[in-house]
Amino acid sequence: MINEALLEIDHLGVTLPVDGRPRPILRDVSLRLNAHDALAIVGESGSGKSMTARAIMRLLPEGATTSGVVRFQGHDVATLSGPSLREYHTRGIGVVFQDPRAHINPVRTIGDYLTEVLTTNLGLSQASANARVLDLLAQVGIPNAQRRLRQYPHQLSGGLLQRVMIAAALAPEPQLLIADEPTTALDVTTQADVVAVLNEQRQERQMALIFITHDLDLAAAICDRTAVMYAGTVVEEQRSTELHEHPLHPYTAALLNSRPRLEGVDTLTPIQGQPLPAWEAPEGCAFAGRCEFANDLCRASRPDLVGPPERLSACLRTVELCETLTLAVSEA
Amino acid sequence: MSPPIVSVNQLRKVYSVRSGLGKRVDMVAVDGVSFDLAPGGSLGIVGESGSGKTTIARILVGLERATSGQITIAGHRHTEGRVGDRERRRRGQAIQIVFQDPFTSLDPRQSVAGALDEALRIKGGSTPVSRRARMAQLLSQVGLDQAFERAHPRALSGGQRQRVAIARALAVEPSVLVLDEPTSALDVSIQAQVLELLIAIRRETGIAYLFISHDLAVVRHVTDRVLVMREGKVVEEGSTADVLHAPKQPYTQLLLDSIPRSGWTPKRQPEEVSGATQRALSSSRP
Amino acid sequence: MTSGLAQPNSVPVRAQGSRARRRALRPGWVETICLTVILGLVVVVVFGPLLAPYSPNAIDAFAISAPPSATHLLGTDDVGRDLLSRLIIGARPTLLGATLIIAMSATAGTILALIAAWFGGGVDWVVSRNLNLLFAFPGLLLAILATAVFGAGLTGPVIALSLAYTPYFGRVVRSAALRERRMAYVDAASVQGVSSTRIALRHILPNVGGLIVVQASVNFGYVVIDLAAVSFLGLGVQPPTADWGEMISEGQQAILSGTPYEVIWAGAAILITVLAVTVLGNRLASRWGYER
Repeated sequence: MINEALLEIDHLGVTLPVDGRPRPILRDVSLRLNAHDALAIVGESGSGKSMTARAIMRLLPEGATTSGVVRFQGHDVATLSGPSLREYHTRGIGVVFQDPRAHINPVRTIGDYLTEVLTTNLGLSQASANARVLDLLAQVGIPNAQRRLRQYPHQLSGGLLQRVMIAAALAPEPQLLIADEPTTALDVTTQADVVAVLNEQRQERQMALIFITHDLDLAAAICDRTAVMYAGTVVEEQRSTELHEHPLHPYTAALLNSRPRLEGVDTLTPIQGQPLPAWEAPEGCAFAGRCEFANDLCRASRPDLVGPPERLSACLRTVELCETLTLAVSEA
Repeated sequence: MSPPIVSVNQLRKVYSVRSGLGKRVDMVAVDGVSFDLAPGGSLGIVGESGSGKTTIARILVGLERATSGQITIAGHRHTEGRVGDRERRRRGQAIQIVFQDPFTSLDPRQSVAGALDEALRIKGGSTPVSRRARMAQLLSQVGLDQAFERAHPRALSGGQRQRVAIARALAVEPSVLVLDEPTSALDVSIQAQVLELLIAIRRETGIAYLFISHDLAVVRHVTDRVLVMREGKVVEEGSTADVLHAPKQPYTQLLLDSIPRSGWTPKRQPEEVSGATQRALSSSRP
Repeated sequence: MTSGLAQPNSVPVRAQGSRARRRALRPGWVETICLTVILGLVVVVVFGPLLAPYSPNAIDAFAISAPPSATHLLGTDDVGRDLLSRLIIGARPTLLGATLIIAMSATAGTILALIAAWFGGGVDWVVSRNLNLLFAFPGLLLAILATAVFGAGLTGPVIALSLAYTPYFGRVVRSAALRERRMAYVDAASVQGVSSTRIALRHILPNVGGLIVVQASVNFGYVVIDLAAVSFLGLGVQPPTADWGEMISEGQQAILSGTPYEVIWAGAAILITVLAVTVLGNRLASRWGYER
């Protein structure tokens, strides 16, 4: 009996033309998600986390070429078109983007925006669509829903608008929700609120969630598993709690240690150098240039993502460094 | 006890905005704020959007004019009237600013050397030779190789640009540096680099910082004292350690509780609090 | 004095795709044609007297209203003057006049725009109202009125058209300058204490320079036509001085007698000039991402 994963990404590579030359943005990304899983993808600039999301959504920019495959419920996403693609975008996945104002038409009311998908793609009548939308707004914690339906986007604050976007994404009841840095542009109190809503909805609906962020703590708060990306590939994937205490990859440990913290040690330990995009990565391990444990072998050959399930790491020295890394993050 | 390098007393800034119906409405961005900054000290101002923290920063460096209140910087009283070139130059000798966005704070057409030279020329009595020497010194102080002199902003990463911005601000040797969310737009691992740089600079030069941030964890590392602001008013103030570990005000506690950390679960805000914050957000323009 | 800490590990790499940027600067075939035409016009203006086979006022009594021939490549007008020579010499008043007008209006418009954008408030209000006032007058009307003041000849029209075109530059540069003014790097320079003049010249102007060039190319065509119209009406360049607009005027009657050469050549010259400059302007606009 095969355990059918909801989403499977197998050795995905994406190349984009940049200034006329093809450049790899994603290099050999593999991830797996089951029906009720919550996976966080954490990375800095150039890590490829947003591009991975776009590949899943089938929203890659013009001129992109891919290798590898993205499978949703067993079907290759690249083969979808027309009605099947629309089905995928409504009942398959829902998306919440970082900047709500860039993704909503400013000259239409919130009500129009929310009901549009329901009436056009799902064939609901206007009345039942309205009812469902009111219900959704209540679920995401927006009071005075009736009044809000008649308002325009500019009349809502960032946090409220983001909750509207969540409602919109949830309206067709998708099986997988992808949230791409949904709270990065929000204040910290608003962020906590919006994330709470997301978490609640996910648990109630038993939906799968992919949460993209640069914040490791935020990732751990709502996702059981965290995947860390660097230079276009996944370098570590573990259960979130384990990752924080026993990181398997030097980058993860260094990232954990370089964050400003409210508690613990007073001094900061930055990582030397800066994050690389995939096309700037040299031979061998992309992180070798900044890694304090790198040796000649690391610089010569690129490590694959290997290990037992939920303890994956792309580091040649992961086994021997295990204890050192745990020690490093516990002292911080 | 030496006098404070910056002294702000009952600062008020009111914007007159046209509401949707064409009526003019007064929006109070800063409402009677007072504080002192000791020479060589580091004061943090934290708050969310609409708190007025950025407005205070801009008023202090002269980019906006206060509606009322007194500002004294390095012993010099600053008036509210229109500021001419000479007055601006004078103020610039005492206080400088580093902005949040590294991508718009450097002129894309100006090389690093050009930007630094322009800043160095302002202080009279320099020669091209002395300026070059000082430029080399500044680059080294912010941890950039000399080769960066010829670079243009588009060749630089966000972290590198912020270093250039810091070098430019330090060029005139001000007594106070206002830092308006200087690391918020940078990657996490780079943030730590730049923060460490700032800490080291203050240690070496004795410059005072006014550090604006929404991030309490950042403020913890860089400041000695902190002001917590909300909707234009100071809600709490004290030493950074006290405010962060033993806050007296519920709003401060709310901010602390909202920060993701180990073992944290997000909680829905009680409607009343988030409603107030949202009203502030929707009435202020970013 | 190094703060001994984590150094950024890469000295700046040559900006991503600088080779691509240079490739982008290379002109396409359309631009090349336009540039060649413009270069040709410049040569004609500069070396006119050397290139013209005859003096523009020399009369060949044996060839009156003659069609193109070996001796007169473009034919002659109804007085017997060589059309090619007149066309070549006639380029000067038209093109030099237009260039002067564009230069003056661009300068005046830009200066006013920078002042308005920098000081804002009341100053901006006054400048904008004045620019709007200038907009209200059709250039041609002003030019005609100017000849009443200055008499016939190019002085009046040049001054008038320079005034008339100033707001076209002023308006466009003003909005670009206002945008630039809001950039953080202008704030930074302001806080440094850099003088207002220097900020305007070193930070705002270079970043709107491309826009000015585009506007200049686009408006050049209109100015050429306006000047030609003025001369056509007999108010600008006076006969016997050769000028394209004046040639069209003089050649009107000849059309009826079946020898429209003067009008055709002069008209074609104006058309080609305006096309070349305007197309180039539009191409630059889209390439640099400006609205026309």
